[in-house]
This record gives sequence, C-alpha cells and structure tokens, in this order.
Amino acid sequence: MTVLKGAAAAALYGSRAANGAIVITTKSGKKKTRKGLEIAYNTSYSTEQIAGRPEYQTTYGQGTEWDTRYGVFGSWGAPYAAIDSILHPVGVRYPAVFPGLVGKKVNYEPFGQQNYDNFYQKGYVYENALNVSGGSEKSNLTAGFSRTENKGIVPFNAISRTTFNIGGNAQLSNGFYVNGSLSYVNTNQTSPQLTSSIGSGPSAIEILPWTPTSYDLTGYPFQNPVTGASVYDRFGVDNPYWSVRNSPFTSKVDRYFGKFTIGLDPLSWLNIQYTAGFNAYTDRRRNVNGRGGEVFPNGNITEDNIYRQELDGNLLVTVNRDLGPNWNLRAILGNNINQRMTERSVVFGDGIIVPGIANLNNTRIQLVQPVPGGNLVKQRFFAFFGDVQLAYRDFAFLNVVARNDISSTLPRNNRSYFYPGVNGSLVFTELFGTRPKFLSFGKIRAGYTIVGNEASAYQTQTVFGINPGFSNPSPVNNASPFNGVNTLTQSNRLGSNTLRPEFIREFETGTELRFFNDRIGLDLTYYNKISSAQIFTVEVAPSSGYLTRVVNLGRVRNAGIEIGLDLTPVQLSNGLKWTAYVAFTRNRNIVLDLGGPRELTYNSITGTIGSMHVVGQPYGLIRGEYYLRDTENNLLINPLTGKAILADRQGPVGDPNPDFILGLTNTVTYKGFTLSALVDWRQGGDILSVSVAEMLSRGITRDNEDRNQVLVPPGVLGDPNTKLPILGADGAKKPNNIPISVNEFYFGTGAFAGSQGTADEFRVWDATTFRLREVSFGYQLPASLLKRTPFGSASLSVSGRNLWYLAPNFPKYMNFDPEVNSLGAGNGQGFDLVAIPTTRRLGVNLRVTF
Amino acid sequence: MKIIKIILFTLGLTVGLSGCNQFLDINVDPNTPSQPVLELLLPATQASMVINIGGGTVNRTATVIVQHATQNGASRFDFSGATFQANWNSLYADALNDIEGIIRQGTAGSQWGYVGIAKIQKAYIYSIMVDLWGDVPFSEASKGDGNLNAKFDKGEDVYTALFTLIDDGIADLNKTPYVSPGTVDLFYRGDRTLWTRAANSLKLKLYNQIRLVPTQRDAARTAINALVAGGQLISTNAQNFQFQFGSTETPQNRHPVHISEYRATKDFWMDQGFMERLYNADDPRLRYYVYRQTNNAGVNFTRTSNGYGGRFTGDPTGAPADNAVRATVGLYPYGGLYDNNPITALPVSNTFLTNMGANSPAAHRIVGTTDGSGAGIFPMITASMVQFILAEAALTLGTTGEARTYLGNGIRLNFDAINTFTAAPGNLGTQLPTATITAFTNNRLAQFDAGTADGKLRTVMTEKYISLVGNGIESYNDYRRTGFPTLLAPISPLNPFPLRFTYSLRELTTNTNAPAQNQLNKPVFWDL
Repeated sequence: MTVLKGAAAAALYGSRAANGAIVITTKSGKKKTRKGLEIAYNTSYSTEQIAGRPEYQTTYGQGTEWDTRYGVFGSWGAPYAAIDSILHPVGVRYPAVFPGLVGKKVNYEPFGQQNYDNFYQKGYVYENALNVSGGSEKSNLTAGFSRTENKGIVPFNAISRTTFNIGGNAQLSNGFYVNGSLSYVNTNQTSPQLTSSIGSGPSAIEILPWTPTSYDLTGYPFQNPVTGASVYDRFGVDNPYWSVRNSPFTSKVDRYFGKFTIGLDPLSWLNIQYTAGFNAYTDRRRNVNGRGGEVFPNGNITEDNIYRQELDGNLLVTVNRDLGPNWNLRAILGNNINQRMTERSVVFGDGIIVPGIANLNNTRIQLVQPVPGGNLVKQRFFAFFGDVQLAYRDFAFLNVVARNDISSTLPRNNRSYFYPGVNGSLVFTELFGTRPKFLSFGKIRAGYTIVGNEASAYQTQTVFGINPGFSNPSPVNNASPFNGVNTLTQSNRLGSNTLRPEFIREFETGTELRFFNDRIGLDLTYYNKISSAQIFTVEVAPSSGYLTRVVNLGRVRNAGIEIGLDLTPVQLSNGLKWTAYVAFTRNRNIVLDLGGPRELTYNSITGTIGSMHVVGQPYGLIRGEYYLRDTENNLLINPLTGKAILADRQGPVGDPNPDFILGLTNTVTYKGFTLSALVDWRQGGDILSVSVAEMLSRGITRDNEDRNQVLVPPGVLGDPNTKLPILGADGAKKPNNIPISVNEFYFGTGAFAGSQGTADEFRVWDATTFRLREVSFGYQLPASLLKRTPFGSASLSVSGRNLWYLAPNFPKYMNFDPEVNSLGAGNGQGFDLVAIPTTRRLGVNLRVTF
Repeated sequence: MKIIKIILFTLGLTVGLSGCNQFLDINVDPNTPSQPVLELLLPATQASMVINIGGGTVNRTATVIVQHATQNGASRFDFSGATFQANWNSLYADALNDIEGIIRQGTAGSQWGYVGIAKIQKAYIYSIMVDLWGDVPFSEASKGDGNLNAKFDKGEDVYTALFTLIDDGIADLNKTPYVSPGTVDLFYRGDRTLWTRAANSLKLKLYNQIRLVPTQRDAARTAINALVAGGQLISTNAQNFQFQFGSTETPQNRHPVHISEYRATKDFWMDQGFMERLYNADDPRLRYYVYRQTNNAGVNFTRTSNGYGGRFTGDPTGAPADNAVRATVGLYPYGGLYDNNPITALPVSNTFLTNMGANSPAAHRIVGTTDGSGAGIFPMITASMVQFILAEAALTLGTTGEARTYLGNGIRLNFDAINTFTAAPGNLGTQLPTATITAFTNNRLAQFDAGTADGKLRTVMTEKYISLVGNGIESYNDYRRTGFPTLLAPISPLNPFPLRFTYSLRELTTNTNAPAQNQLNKPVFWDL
C-alpha cells in the first residue's frame, strides 16, 4: 500500500486522485519464496458491544406535562412516586387481541435503561485468512482465502464476507513478462432498516431510545399472536423487536476484480507495459416491510439489482536512464482509457401473501419502479499523461507531470482539459560536507499542481421522468400511472450545457527532518489549495420551475498544515523501546466567491435542514432554521407562548469543519512484546444531531430529569408579526418574564433544545471528542522457540478498539459518540440523523506462517 | 523488431480509438426522454395540481381552519415557512413547470386543445395561490435559469392577468383544427365544451371573489351577469370540475386523505364543533361525512358518547392514543365508509338525520386500507358551488336571478352529487330519497326566508360551507370574504387567525427578490 499525498498523484492516477491516492498493490506473486513463509494463517476473534448508551431518567413515566398519556413518545408524564400502577398499555390498545390484559394493572416503574440495554446484544467478529505463495525464479503464484463473520449489536444484523484471490507472474523466454490477479469477494448482509423521520417507516434504531420509560419493551408482547402484526404502544410505528425480525434489509454483493499486465523491456532503460483491468460487482438488495406493520399493513418487498462495472486500460512507456554518473532521468508516457457503467433495476412488490417469505413471487402485485439516477448510467474518459523525473544523485529531484483528460461527461467544447504540475525535493543534509551532529536527515520539498476533474454522467441536460410519484402528506405517496394513464414530468434538476471541468490548484511545501540518529523525526506540510469551477448541484428558487441546478461554483480555498512527529524517548540496549507518534492536521477552508450569489444552498435533507455555502465563510455550513433576535442579539420571545419566534429564512447554524485533529500513538516494545495505544482528539466541528435532539424532546434521559421548576429563557418579548421587540410605555424592551415548563422548554414550536419545532440552531453541538481509539498488546514468538516446529513465525495479540471517548459539549447523559455520522461522506457534512451506535471491540488475534 | 511493432500497434489502437468522438458522445441520458411529450405531460400536471392543492397540506390546513376537521398544530395556527413549502415548491417545480412546457410546445405545434387546457389549469392554480399567499411570483416565474430570482407580483395584478389567461384558454379551445387530448385528459377526456364551462365557472368564482374591491365591484357585477346570460357555466354534476381519484393501491391512485386516514395512524380528528353542528342541525350528510369506528368513543371526550368522538379546534393538549376509536372521515368525498350504524339518543324531532335503515346490530369497525374504495374526489368547482356563488352575488351585487332559487339548487345539487358518488362502483352506502332531499332543501329555504338580509347571506354561506367538505380552501376563501359561517374560537391559538398562509422557507431562502415572510394578520387584496 502506498499513500500518495496531495494533488501530485493525479497525473498518473487521474482526477479521482485529486486529494491524494492510496494505491493498494495486490499481490500478484512475489519473487522467490522462502521456506517457512509459504503459508500464512491469520485468525482473530473480537467481541463487539455498544460503545456508549444514554443514561435514562428514572423519575417520570410516559405522558405530557405530568399527565399519564398512552401512545405518546414522551416521558413527561406523572412521577413514579405518585402512582403505584397503571393499566397494561397493550391491553388498552389491543383489547380484542389480548383480552387477558384488558383491565390488568402493571406496576408503574421505570424500564427505560433496561429497554435500551436489553435490545442491543453482544456481537462478534470472527476472521480467518489463509495465504499461500510459492514459485521459482521465473514464475510464481499466490492464492488466498479469507472469511469474516460479523454478528452485529442489533438483533438479526449480520455480515459475512468471503474472499478468494489468485495472482501470479511469469517471465517468458521471448522477453515478455506477464502478471495478473483475480479476486472474488462475496458479501452478505442483513441489517435493520434505517429511515430518518418518524412515521415514514419501520426504523427500529430511531425509535428504540424514545420508547416511553414506563413501557416494558422487553417484557410486553411485540407481535400479534394470531396475525403476526406488530404490537406497540404508539400508532404508526412498529415495535423495534418486531421490525428487526420482520422488516430486514438484505444485500448480497458479488465483487470480482482483476487485472492483466503484459510488458517487456526492449532496452535496458526502456519498459513498455499494458494493463487491462476490470472491477465489477452485482449488488442484489432487498428491502422488506413485513406484513402487519403500521405504515405498510399489507407488507411489501422492494428488489433493487445493481450491476456496476469499470473497465480500464493503461499503457505505460517508461524510460529510466542514467545521464552521466550523477544524473538520472525517469520519464513515463502513458495513455488511459476508462469506462464506468451502472445498470440498475428496481421492482416493488406490494402485499405480502405469506408472511416471512421474502420473495417477489410472494406479493400480490409487482411494479417496476423508476431508479434514482437512471437505469443505465455510463461515462468514459481517455487521457494522455506524462511524468518526467530528473534526479541528481539520491538527493535532488525535479518532477514535471502533465495530463490531458477528455471526458464524456462534459459538453463537447469543454470536455478536453489539460493539467500540469511541477514539484521538487532536496535532501539538503547531503549538501553539507559535514552535517551537524544532531541532524541526521533533512529534506525540503515544494510543488505546484493543477488537477482537472469531470462531471457526473448526464449533468449537462434537463431530462423528463416517466411515471413520476406525487408526494402527499400521508405516509404513502401517490404514483403513476394515474387511473391507467401514463405520465411524464420534467426533472426538477436543471442541467447545464455550458458545464466546464473543475480545477484544483495546489501549492504544497514541506520538510522532513530527523534528529539525533532518528530519535526525533518531523514531517511538516503546508498546503494552499484553490478549487475553482467546482461542479455542484445547488438549490434554486422553486418559482423558477426547478428545485436544483448544476453549476460551476466559484472558488474555494483550503489551506492547512499537517505535522507528523516521531519520537523515540527510550531505546535501551536490552531491547526496550518506546516510540511515540504525534499526528496533527489543521485545515482552514473558505468560500472565496460563488460566481455571483452571496450564498447558495444545497443538499436539503429535510424541509428545514441542509447545507450551504456563504462567501467569506467556511465551506459547507450546516443550514437550518434559527430564531429571531433583536439588534443586541437577544432572542425575541412570543408573549402568547413564552417561546422563541422562527425567522423567515434559513441560515448557517453550524460549521462542521473541525479546528484540528490530533492523534497520539505510543508504542512500547520489548523482546517480542508490543504494547501500543492510540489516543485522538478532534477539536471543534459542529454536528446537527437529530438523534440527540429527539432524545431531549422525549424527556428520556437524566439531562432533563429535574422538572420541579419553571424556566424563563433569556430574551425580550417580541411581536411575531412585526418581528420587532415589544416596547413598554417607557420605550424600553421588556425582558422575557413568561415561565414555561421543562417539557415546553424541550418540546414543540419555539423550544430551546430538542426537536418537534425547535429551531435547528438549538440542535447543533460542538463535536469535540477525546478518544482512546485503540490499545493492543502483542507477542511475537522468538524464532528459537519455533525451530523445532513447522512454523516459520507466530504471533499473538489482544486488542481493544474505541475503548473510551468523551464528547464534552453534548448533553452529558446522552453519552453521544459524534463519530456516528450518518452523512459524513459526500457533500453533506455535519449531520447525525439515525445510525446504528458505534461499537467497542475486544479481540484476540493469532498469526502463524509455515 | 517484432515486439516493438506489437507495441506500436497497441499504442495505435488506443490512440485511434481515443480519437474517436463517437467513443465519448454518450452523455445523453438513455433512460428518459429529453423532449416533452404532450399526452404524457398533461395528466402529470393534472395529478400534480390536484394532489398538491386538494390532497396537500394547503387544503388540509384550510380544512382545519374552517373546522371541517381538526389537527393539533394547524388548529392552533402554528405555521412556519416549512408548513406549506412542499406544496409551494411542487406547484412551481412540477405542475406549473410542465404546464408552461405544454403551452410552449403545444403553441409551437398548434396543439390548441392542450394549450387551452393548460392555460385554464394555470389560471386555476395561480388563483388559488393568490388566495392563499397573496403576492406570488407570476410574471417572472417558470423561467428556469432565465430568471432565478422571480419578483413577487401583487395578487391583484395576478388576478387581472388570469382573466385574460382564461379568455386566451377558451379562445385556444375554439381554434381549428381542434385535436382532442382524449382519455389522457383526466378531467373531461378532452371535451372542450366542458372545459369552456369550467373556464367560465372559474371566472365566475374569481369575479365573486373580488367583489369587495371597490374598483372591481361594477366590473364583477357586469361580468357575472354576462356569464349567467351566456349560459355556459357548470350547471349539472356531470359537468363538475373535479378530480376523480382511483381505487388502486399499486400504483397508489387513492385520494391522499383516504390514504392517511384509513390506516392505523391518522392525520385528522373530526372537528367536534362541526359534527355537533350537523347533528344539531338535523343534517343527514353527517352519515356521509363522518364514520364512527366505535359507538362509544371517549378517551378524553366523553361529551358525546354516541361515537362522534373528535377534538375541538385549537386543543393544546397532547394527542391522545385514540386512533382506533376516534371518528374519522366517511364515504364522501374521500371514498371511505358510509356510516350506517344507529346513532344513540338521536332526538325524535329529527326528520332528516334518522336511524331509519340503520344496521342493527351496529357494525362499527376500525378502519384500514381495505375499507372503502379510496376513489375519492377533489371538488374544485361544482354545479352546486356555482349556484351558491350566484346566490351570494345576487344577494350582495344584485346580479341576475333569485338568491333563493340558487340556494335551493345549490343544496339539491350537493345532495345529488353525494348520491351519485355513493352509487359509484366500489362505494357502498344508502342513497338519500328524493323526498328527503326536497324536504331538507325546503327546510333550509324556510330558514332563508325567515332571515334578514344578513341572515339570508348567512344561510347561503353556511349551507355552502356544509356542502364544501373536501374543499376547505373554498370555504376558507368564503369565510374570509363574508365572515360566514360563524366558527368556534380555537381553545388555545398560538397566532392570530391566519388571513393568509406562510411562504415556502425554500423560496424565501433561495430567491433574492423574495419579500419578508407573510404576516398572518394581513389580509389578501380581495379580503376587505
């Protein structure tokens, strides 16, 4: 595996390496193998547990405003101390199904913590891998097999992965060499559905924590004994236990990839080779909404078959020649052709006939569905590139790269784009005749690289969609054909036939220093990167006839430093060694211009939250609703309600970009023993956490257990119509004097933390996190001990991952792990909607070779 | 050297292939057409228009404001920029965008049938938007990247432009050659005489709407008289401008209110005040409008233990878990169930709402997706509404005709429409005998006769209000214009009575020419 930092990698690997590349070179057969190392076997077993869980309050049961009320997702009801028993909630909702529970009383007591704890189970990861390699001078072969089984912490959540690979190379007698590899990976996954808003589907993970604290989720029935339907306290939501059993999402992925290389060295300094590669997978996904659920009482099955294929051809002509005793020239000329294609079809089967059989044949009626993004998506590019490196001895390097891509995804006039780069490095310690003692190695480097990038397929046109759906406020949308008539509607995304390629211009400089015989090493990097004409889908005013539009954005700057510090504080002659590695990264980004507008919104996740860019501010701000304030930044409080007043528009409510990330690894080795620990610290970066906000609103944790009080949020009284402070007779503003209950503080329109109407600015938390990411202890058996055994080497280790974390700026009793980031990748950053909680792993690993 | 030749050949091949433009000319989306197809666009605009206006939050909220049914937030006037934005966004980005496409493409290809229908639909949508939001983007809307920040036109100016647009639409329908869109027209199957009636009735509705604007009063009177004289208004229920939903669930063609109410969760409670109004006024439509899931509803509302369990408007208390027991929407107009169960303690003085023919024993049920056809209607402009409008205009503007006659026709036509709906395939229920309808109508006419001038208008508007279940928007317009019927004060409102709706948060955030958010207490231009 090779890590290529920064944009410099892009010439050889194309624009997809604009932010650097990690090149994983799969084994295609090594040179001659050594006895005792021909077979390697690795096995490991880890247990997996939920990493953090909310701490439940034990004072109040289900209801609102101290009033016991069935069917609500709120634990704002009567205190446990006030009532001995209540009617069995299941008997109240299902008198006909459970006649025995009608009129039955159950103790009124807190079940919140055990409801949560009992649901999540202990999972495991069991991995076995066998690798074989062997060969001669002329040819060799490797083969491997591995299997991983993972039982998740959510019931019925499981993943298994099986891998085969084979590779080999041969030197032919006619001068050619060939190598190739082929891999097959099969992944089977069953997981609970994750939907992100109440009532729109059976999402066990989302609603589990909201379960009213006085409802015994573990003990009460979850299923109708006759029909098999879900049984739960709240309407419109499936019981989590029922949901994980009856409404699974399954995915079966078969991935196969490989490459074939043929080449020769016609001259001692000339190498020519061609590599043809493929990478393809099929993903057969099936989403089941079990029969008897609340949202889809008839049940349904959606089958989504995805086929993805990438073909790549790469020609490299490499010249590697010494120019005199001190100079070396390495020049690569190449050509790259690439095609990516996705074929996808979705069939929806409505009305499950026999519960438990997840097959489209088992549905009453089937309908082919429109595929998001299209059934067939294809894009191609070809490129010519060159990479010339001039080296003076082993310490001065000058590298010039250039690449020209021609992409199918851009309009014809703009689809060919050229991007060059230059960078150099100098090991300056080699310049000194006698270098200072303390400095064992010193290198400086600098580079300036441009990288161009293409669009996605079909962004240049505005298309029409066949038989669209029509959303309505009910849980199920309307669909076409309508009354037997087929329909067509223009897409809400306005394409752009003037799209240009995007470019990143990066200046990077750095130094690598090692002191005191490598006891201290320092790697320093500074970069300044300007992205221009970034291809982006932004939102437009609906009155234009469209909701989004593809544009070339203005300019964005990313500047930052990366520091790697390598320390060896202790290195004794008896073999005891302590090393420490500190990694620090800090990036600052700023939107310089947006090609006209001062701000642009994009990536709407719900009706009120999404992302936005604002000129002069960091990239990709969290967008949401906020409350009105007066000129002195006091919240305006509605005198009718005692709550805050929403502003007209959305605005930036958080910056998801962290201030810095610091990682510290300490490793102590002694005679085959290795003890290592990794701690990291992420400072800043906001997250809009819907799950924390919801839990606050539901009143389930100790965070809002203290309810024998009224709250008067700071602010001044304001008029919701004029949006101005209300002035008294003396012309002065009136400070808020309206007390509200704790329940009101956390719930409903204008609330000050939580959900269900709370402005998004009060749903954002600083995600600073301290974490003990990994601790491991290993032992490598000494060779002397293995002499008489068939083993070449053997090692044993135990490790723990994600052992401890602290996110101090989140509500304390949530024990929230900000790394649960359901929208971490892609354009949207800084949102936690609904995800399976993070886990803590404890495991043991054994590796032997023979 | 042979090897070099092979390499050069390979190189040549790749370069040769690369040079080929055909290799790269693949960026046309093969999955969807890039050109509009009129006969596919038209039904999409119709479904989109009706689902957003009739089935969307705007009509649901209007329904709650006028207390045909109730919801927690809406009945307390708890509105924000997020409340109505789905409908606003979709009306512009789906319905109106495709309508403009039809007008453009159809005009270029002389497809006047499509163009005429599209213009009438456009006028209907914009008139509703002005009624609900006041000033809206119109003259600069739907321009794509030609204008991304459309200005908001004054509601009054939009109305003026709509009268012209309707006339243009009628003129287009009369151009030759007329090629009928046929069955792809989900309203009238391409019948241009019916579209002309719908267009004229829309004009009637709009002129009556602006009758309080002093400068428009005389023009409205003249125009209404001309429309009456022209005889081309919707005059029978078969001519109704209404959307017929389907009964299939896959694809989902049912009335959105049926989808949301005939399941375990519900979007509405029936409004306690409205149910009691019908009950106390001896109105037999109660059995069609409301279905009781039990005869003993009462988690928190044992006030009427006859199964008519709803909530009073503006109730601030949390939602009770009464989904399985509360009364819900009935057969008309959403395609649910007809309530043929006995009503306990029904006064003997009642002559219209009776227990005659009711099931014995009662057969209440907890409604689910299989109950009723779901083939509801969204009544946009019906023959009954036309008569009520003429009654109002006759009373207030002195237009042609007798208000009393119009009132009688309006009531009768509504009952006839309910009877026809009841008899439609898939629906089950008892039709009201003609004698009952006549007697009921006469009863209401007697009320009209006994009233003062104000009382006469009250009777007309109250009867219209009761007949308008399913179209809360028109009732909301009527209430703002006339102040009738008398509505109950919400128990605990969070805002003043809304005289207009809030704009789309997304529009305000993305359109640099957007004004400040609407103030709920500011009336629209015709509400004086």
